[in-house]
Amino acid sequence: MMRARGAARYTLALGFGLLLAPFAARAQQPAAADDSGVDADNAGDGYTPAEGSASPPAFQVSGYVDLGFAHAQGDGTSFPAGDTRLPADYGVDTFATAVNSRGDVASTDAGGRFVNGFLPRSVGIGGHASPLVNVVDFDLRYNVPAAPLMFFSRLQLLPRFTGTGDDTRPLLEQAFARWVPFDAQELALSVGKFDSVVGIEYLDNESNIRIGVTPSLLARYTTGQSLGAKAFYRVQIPAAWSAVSLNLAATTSGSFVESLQMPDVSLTGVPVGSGRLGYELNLPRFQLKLGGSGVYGPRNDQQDRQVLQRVLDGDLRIAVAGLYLNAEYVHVDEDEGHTPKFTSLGVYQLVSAFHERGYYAQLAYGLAIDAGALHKITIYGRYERRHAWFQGFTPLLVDRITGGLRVDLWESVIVKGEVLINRELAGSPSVPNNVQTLSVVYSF
Amino acid sequence: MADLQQSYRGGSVCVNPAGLDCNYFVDKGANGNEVLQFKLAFAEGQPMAYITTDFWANYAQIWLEPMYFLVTAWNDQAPKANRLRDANGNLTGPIFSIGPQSAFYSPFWRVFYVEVPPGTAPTKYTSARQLFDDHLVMHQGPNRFASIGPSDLSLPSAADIVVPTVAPTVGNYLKNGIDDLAAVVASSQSLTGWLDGASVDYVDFGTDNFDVDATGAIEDVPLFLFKQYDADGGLKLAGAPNVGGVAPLFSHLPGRITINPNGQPRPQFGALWRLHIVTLPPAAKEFFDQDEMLVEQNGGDPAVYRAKIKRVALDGGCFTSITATADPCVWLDSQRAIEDNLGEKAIARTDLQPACPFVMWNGLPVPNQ
Repeated sequence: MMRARGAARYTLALGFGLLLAPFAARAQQPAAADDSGVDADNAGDGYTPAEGSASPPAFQVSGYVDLGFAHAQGDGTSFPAGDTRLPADYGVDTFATAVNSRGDVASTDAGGRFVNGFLPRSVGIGGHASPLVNVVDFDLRYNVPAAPLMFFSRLQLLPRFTGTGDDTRPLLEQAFARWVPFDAQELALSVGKFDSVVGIEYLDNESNIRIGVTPSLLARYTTGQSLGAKAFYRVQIPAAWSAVSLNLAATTSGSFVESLQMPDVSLTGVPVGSGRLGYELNLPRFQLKLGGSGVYGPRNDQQDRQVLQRVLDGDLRIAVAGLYLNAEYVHVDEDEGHTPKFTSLGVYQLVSAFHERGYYAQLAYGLAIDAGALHKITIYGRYERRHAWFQGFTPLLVDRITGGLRVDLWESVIVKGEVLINRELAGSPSVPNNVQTLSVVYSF
Repeated sequence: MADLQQSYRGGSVCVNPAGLDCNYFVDKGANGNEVLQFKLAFAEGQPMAYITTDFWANYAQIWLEPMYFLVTAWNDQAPKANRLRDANGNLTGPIFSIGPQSAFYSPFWRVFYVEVPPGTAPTKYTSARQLFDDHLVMHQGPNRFASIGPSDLSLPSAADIVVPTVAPTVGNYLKNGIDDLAAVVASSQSLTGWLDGASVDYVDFGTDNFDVDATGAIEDVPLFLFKQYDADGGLKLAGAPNVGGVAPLFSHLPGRITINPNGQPRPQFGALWRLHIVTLPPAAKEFFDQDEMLVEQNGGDPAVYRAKIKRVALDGGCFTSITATADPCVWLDSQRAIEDNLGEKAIARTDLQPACPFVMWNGLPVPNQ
């Protein structure tokens, strides 16, 4: 079964237009989603390029370029003027002003006030409209001839300006080896740095895959890459048009994004366990996918192995009649720590206990069009709500309404425009922090 | 404060920092209740006193957080003039933004006056969250020291302060004598406020008694704790009162002190200290009552030398040489005296930071304002 799916994947990998296939499958042909072959089923290696056919080239290079144009209201942050609560990033949602698929925000400038490492990456444009190079992505893949082994690396260049200087950096987002030990079993074992196995939003990490532009307010807890080992197993139940899958991982940092928990080393020496149990119903005109995920293990932003993080996640996807609904609930608890706090952004002073409850739901409809360059138009909307609090601090309740339009041109270009309406519902003053963002993605 | 109280209750297994006695911060008061301890010390060559309310170990920074006072109308000339009152005319308590259960809690606050409509029920707003939810107008005020603590831990009364084992002859150190003790006691007040919808007790030491940098971090000044090698070669607490610094170590900067219209001083520093362990030379000696009596016999001015009791001299051998006209002693009763006479090698910076607002400075009560 796995091999059959792999053959389909190779076909898709040959042209960028086929990288759009997962989306097409969701919006137009949900029953064919499995054939798209790029992890719409949480197969565990994230959006790696499609697998080879009977005689694939051993070495493949692909990738994409994501150009953006964004404008955020106010100063590009969610820090209210005159709010003197410290740390400044504990009383607001610093991730609200996202401008691209990586979740980078317009600004994280707290105006000199003390922050304690609950921050996203920033593109440093503040409240000014600006063009951006969001990502230049190179995917390198090597299939070992005559062996069920694949090596994959995803290297990204991220041109950035912090507001105080150039902060352009290369990022090795993924680097792993995958072994498929049995031809007759849908079992894959991976070691290295790979996508999260929690929830479903990590499936949309890359901007050439994501329906819209920006991740949800909850993506920070579930879509990070991490270093370790994982196993994916799926059993098909043809008589019931169903499949059940299990994805288990033991990694350095769990599922948080790297700006919150550094994935590249284990700070505690103890792995973080995570997993997802999934069920999918694949009828010809109706597709349903359900999953439950969890993370348990030491926080990897500190050094005490007794200080734990716990994530619970429930996800739902429905595809029917060109509509695609996906929704996710995320529940996070983190213990208080007693060492300094370490993230990819720096070293901070204290490790506070943290709690979060939130959800999002996204509905998309895609209309295939055969009119020259124009291949497809998709409209989508998303509602998300996040209730979070640090130990001893005022709880923060925010929501966001996202609406957007996506146009697929030729077979290799996507143009996406999106509006984010951020609202502070409780616990923080309202601030002007809505975002308009545009993304043009070219794949090669 | 609760931690200091718990440490005291731990008895012989207390966890006080720097090897301080288990009853150093909290002890039984005159009425048998648990009381924060009045500590006599010296600074700038003069007697001062403080009360320790909070203590941090191994914190890189201590931060300023906002607290909120409700006003029914804004008056920028007299911000407190329109404080919200209850039906009995009592002022409603302030609202704290963060509690002691958070590692970011501190007793250092920036006051905000929050406008609420006249007639607002006194219990309508009891949490910072409500203030933000209702998007109320806020006006920034001064910085204030207020420590949230348990209701069964009291500030020292006059009777607690004059206990001989706590501050013997405290009247010797007050320029106006024991009559000023009531004003010293009034320097701090036990009050109630709100935190996350619940009533909390706190002790208040008034405004502008610490410095804050641009990031909101509290700036500490050194507090010198004397140690001395004993006959067995062990470095032990000398037991003498501490000496308060006024500025960063070896900066030689003066401390900032304001004088109110009544002539009462208010140091604008010192509510946050950083302990520095000072190793005294073997000859250094504390000046005790019996030494003072000897000085009086040799013609020394009693008014001057009673106020020297408990100070440390660089060489205790000088005590017998004090006369009516000569004082050969080098008194280690100021930051500058310690820096100049003992030098850098004798002073060890620690990661221990007590919050000890002044209740007496230069022999005068520090007014609560």
